[in-house]
Amino acid sequence: MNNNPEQPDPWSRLVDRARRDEPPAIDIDALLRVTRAAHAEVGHVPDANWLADFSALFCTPRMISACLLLTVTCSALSAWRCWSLWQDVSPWAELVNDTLGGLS
Amino acid sequence: MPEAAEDIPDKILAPSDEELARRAKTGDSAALDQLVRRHQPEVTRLLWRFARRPADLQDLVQDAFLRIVRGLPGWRAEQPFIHWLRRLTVNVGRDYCRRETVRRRWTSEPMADTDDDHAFVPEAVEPGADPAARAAAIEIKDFLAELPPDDRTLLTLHHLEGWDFASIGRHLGWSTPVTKLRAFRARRRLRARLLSNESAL
Repeated sequence: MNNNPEQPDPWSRLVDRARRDEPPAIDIDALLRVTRAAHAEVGHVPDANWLADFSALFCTPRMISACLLLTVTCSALSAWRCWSLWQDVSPWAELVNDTLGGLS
Repeated sequence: MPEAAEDIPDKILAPSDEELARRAKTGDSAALDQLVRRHQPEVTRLLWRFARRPADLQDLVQDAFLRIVRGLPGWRAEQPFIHWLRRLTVNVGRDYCRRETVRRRWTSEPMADTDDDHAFVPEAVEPGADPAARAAAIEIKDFLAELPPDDRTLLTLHHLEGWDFASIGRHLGWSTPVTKLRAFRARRRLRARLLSNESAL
């Protein structure tokens, strides 16, 4: 297995000879029949672009329901957080309002 | 290699692999046929480096193209088609090596008590267009068949296909240093095998 091209060892000579080996012919018609049959079985996807990928991923009824539910939950949480924050801030706001004589 | 002038326009006009794969992905069977016809010689040649019998070769080529057809819906156009095809083909070859290793283990066990426990019954193989090349290939495949499947895959691609370690690593999912280390160990095993074979003669 030396790499000296000047004096190749028996293994290198064997490898050089083996590389010239050509594969036997295969039955291309049988191959095409098999691939066509498999091609008919697999689901075909429309020509891909980002919009097609996006809609394929998110346009299922389950995904739409999940998005709606998530939106409602987020809105409810945000409203609750705003309301509780206002409860904490409102005495201070009233104090500032009273201090300024109701000008704000 | 210089190309004949009349071949060039055909090659320019011919749709690219990516274009054909995109069309095949959307259900165009003519595009798939064209892809199969275009890449069948390369896939066959690559798998013949692994296969030991012509019947195995036909099965392996069919297996490779079936994987390609079934994998087409997941193929992304950003990835060069030829790289994807070669990776699938190499995996088919590697799986064949694994099956062969198991088959060898099961068929050679009853012969373990004999004097020459590495004896492998030679099977009739067509001599091919170049009988000397075929004989050399069979001899190398016999040596490599005694190695673990990953070593066999690696050395087959390196010695018989002439791939460098970076390409082999890319196709087998290994980094280049890991591939070199594996190659070093595989060659050490092979060298030990060759030396033991020489001393037995």
